Amino acid sequence: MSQSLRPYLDCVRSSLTAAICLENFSSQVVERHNRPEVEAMSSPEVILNPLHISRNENEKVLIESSINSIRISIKIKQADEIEHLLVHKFTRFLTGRAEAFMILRRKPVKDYDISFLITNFHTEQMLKHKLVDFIIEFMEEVDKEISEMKLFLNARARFVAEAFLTNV
Amino acid sequence: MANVNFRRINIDILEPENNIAPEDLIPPSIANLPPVSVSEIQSFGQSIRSALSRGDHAGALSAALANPPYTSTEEVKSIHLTTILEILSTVKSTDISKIVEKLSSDERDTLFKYLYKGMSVPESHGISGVLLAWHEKVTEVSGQGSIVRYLSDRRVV
Amino acid sequence: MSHSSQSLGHVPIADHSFSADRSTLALARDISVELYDTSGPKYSLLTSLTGHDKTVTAVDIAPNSGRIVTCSQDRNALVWEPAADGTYKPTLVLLRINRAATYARWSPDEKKFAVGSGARAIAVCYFEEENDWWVSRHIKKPLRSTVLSVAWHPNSVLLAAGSTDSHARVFSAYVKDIDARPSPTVWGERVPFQTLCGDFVSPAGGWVHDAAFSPSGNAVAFVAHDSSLTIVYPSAPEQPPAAIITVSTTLLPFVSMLWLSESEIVAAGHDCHPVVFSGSEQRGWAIDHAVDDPQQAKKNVGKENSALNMFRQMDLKGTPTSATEDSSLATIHQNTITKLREYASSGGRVSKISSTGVDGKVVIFSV
Repeated sequence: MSQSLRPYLDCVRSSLTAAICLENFSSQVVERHNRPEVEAMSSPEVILNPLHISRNENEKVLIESSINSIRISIKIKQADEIEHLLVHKFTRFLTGRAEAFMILRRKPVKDYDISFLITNFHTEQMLKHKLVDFIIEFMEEVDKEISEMKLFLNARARFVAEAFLTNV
Repeated sequence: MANVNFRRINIDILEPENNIAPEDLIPPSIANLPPVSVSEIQSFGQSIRSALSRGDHAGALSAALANPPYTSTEEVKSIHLTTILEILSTVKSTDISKIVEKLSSDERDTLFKYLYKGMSVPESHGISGVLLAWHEKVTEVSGQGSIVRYLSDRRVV
Repeated sequence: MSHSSQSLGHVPIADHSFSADRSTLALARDISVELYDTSGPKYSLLTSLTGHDKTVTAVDIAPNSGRIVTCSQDRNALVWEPAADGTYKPTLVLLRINRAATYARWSPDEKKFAVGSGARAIAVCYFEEENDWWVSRHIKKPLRSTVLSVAWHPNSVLLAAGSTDSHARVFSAYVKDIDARPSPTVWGERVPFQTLCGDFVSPAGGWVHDAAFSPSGNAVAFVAHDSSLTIVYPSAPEQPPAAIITVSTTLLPFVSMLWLSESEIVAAGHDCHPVVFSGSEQRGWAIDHAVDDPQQAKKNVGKENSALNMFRQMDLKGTPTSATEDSSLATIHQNTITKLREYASSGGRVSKISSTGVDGKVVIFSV
């Protein structure tokens, strides 16, 4: 399947670069407030069309953009029950520390495993192309991490079983 | 008694003068387009299929992208989407760049709309590889400006 | 083609304005407006105008009178009068808007200024002598969404406005007691206040980030979020326009634009470098060239890949990535350019433009 990974990531990269054009926008619904319009969803005209990019039914990315914020939701490949558990634990670990992450959303959007919320304040402090690089790297690395965790899990289980069941 | 608690109604968002409802977002250029009926779109699909069997992929794609049914029902739109996905999957991967270069800039923008819509429906998960290959080739020619146009274009296909 | 740039910290600059002799630069940074002295190789801070509680969104210095108008997301605008000793005194402006102000510009005759706001209105303000304050009249219909930018026609009566409902409109901002009766233009003959003289949309929609009249006032151009530049040539009042020309680009959207002459426009935005368009009503418009082109810059950069660099990278980031992974962009601006202004003109066209961006840099480009 690795031959379709590169076009998938290229597609996500170019779509993200196009969608991450954000600017400071004060709320037109509440005075003196400045809130991410993609979360508030209060004015339909400042929200853009959502972008779906999918490699197969198990791996997809949803990019929802607006004038001052963008929400990226990723569904990570989970082939069996063990990977399902591992992904759940991994994303729980990350979302529990979302403050330090800055761009991470504490709850993923429905049907997805993890979501990022990037606002214009983040793109002012950080470089946009590096943010896009980070998201792409995250998508590449998380698959490797989950496979690695599964291998270690199996190795540990085998070791424990051997130690327990071998005749001393 | 009314079922709705009138004290909780947010009167500000209901006021039409100050707010834009989702229906108002449809641009005036397509507001008066007559909706296409299901039978029309199906017969159009047949003519496309015959063009494909003749081997005229570029012509079939141009014809399909020419007048998207923006103001029609969801059923009509999804039938048209299926037709276009058929065209995209029958084209050989080596011919994709040639066909993309011959399309006009507007046709490429419309093609982007169908690529993204295609990736959002579950039925197309088998041909995602094809859609991603098309996406890559069209981005090479049209750049990210085309993706930005898909994002801000309210003429939803 | 020399470009000079100054880096003034990492706070995003929302707007900038040079004084008429280009010796003073006003920058809107966060909640205050800072005035810099531009003589000398490095700009030095003269004074800071603090009167706003929230982000200042626009600043404009009137070329002749030296008055500065600022507006901010705290729903206020202030007019600063220069005193003899170099300090500025704020004057009250009764804007009467209940949302953030997004854009403010003096009219060419400096008797009025227009403020666009999120209250779905444009406030046209003029000075009232007896109470020593600036009062406003609102243009409300048919605006239904935040106004992102306003631009004056050379006759100080017509106003172009771009808004988030994807329409660029031309209004009349004729105030009876302040303005003399304007001579008839191609936009309209008798234009009472709030008359809508034109309403234009870009074909693929998209919020109109900036609009401007041509130097003669006979055409209006606007940049929208669908990465396009649209130029409108009106034919006569109440008639459909003679030509609407849209240039769709392959680049990221533009946020600011200005006319260099009747046949040239420069625009800049999320691509971090200005792009010049040229054309006319008959020939159509197209991209001419890019200023500070990142493609050019990439070819000129040489790559050094020493072992020292590799170990330094490993120490810093944990991976021995090659020296080509430089995190800065190839353009001078490292982040979106937010405003372009005229800096110098020669031979009937603008020859230098100044730009500020989210990266806190002020750059003067020769175009």
